[in-house]
Amino acid sequence: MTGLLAVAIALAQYPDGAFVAEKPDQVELGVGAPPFGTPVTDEAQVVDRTMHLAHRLRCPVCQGLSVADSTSEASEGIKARVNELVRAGYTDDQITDYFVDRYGEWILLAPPAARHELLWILPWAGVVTAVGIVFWMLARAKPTAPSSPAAPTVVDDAYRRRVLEELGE
Amino acid sequence: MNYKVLAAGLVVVVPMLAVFAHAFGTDPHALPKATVGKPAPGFVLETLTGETVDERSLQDHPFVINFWATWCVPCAQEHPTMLAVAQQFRDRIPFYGVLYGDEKDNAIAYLQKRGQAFPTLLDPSGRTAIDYGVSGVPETFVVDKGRIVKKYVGPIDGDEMVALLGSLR
Repeated sequence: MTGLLAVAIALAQYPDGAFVAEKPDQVELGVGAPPFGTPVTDEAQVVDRTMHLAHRLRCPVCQGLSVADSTSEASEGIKARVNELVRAGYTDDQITDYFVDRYGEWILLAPPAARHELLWILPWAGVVTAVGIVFWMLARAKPTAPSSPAAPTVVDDAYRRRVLEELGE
Repeated sequence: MNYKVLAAGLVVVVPMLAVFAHAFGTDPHALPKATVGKPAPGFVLETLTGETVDERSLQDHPFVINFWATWCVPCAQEHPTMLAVAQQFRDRIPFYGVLYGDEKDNAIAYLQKRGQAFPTLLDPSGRTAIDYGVSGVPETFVVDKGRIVKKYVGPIDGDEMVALLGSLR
């Protein structure tokens, strides 16, 4: 988010992208926007952040490996680039956006939930819909008549007397 | 006919067919071409013979940049086609090779043996390759008016490239 904000600010200042050519330090780093953070000099912090970001980025020439887990030429180059940007003070979002700009979201091992809401919502919507349909079908089903004893036959008094007479009572 | 069963079947089958129809139109192995349409990243690189090439001096003209390596078999397959196309447009459109993950001496020996029609630039840190979103070699970019207009992943199609370059003013 902060990366997008930085780019928006840069674009507002230099709408035709001229900021790239006019700021030699940014040409040097090739990001196209100034770092949002401050330069990092603590070596442990640089390594931690570099590896954290490298775990989020996909090795471009491997099968399902992160840049951190790969020793390929391409991954080593990406790690070096991440390291350079971390040192210069770019934030994690800025660095991630830098790689997404060049490789697409494919470079991220996990798609960002904020940009793919449907991926997360649809499965749950499907479950809720299915459960709703089941309940609706159960509610609509006609109840079968329960097996009950036959209703007592109504016998009028004349009939009763005749039966009793025939039985001799 | 039981229309309810038919409708339930369609509810399941039609979305599946829509997903398949969408997916059949795409190559699952195709790499994203996120940089196409964007401004060409700047670079200042040295050639094998020590001259400096600054991308900013090329901004107003179309140019072609081909990332390759001596250890890359598809690059060797592509090499004669690339030479032929570069020769055909040598008066109008500059071509540049960028050595990717390889040594200068290897490149000099390779080009002496196989011939060369354009300068090869050295990118020892791999920065320029990352800035262009290169994930393997060969990859070739056509730049016009400062923007990437075409990215070839793998060996170029000579006829297609000739048609494209011929259309650039």
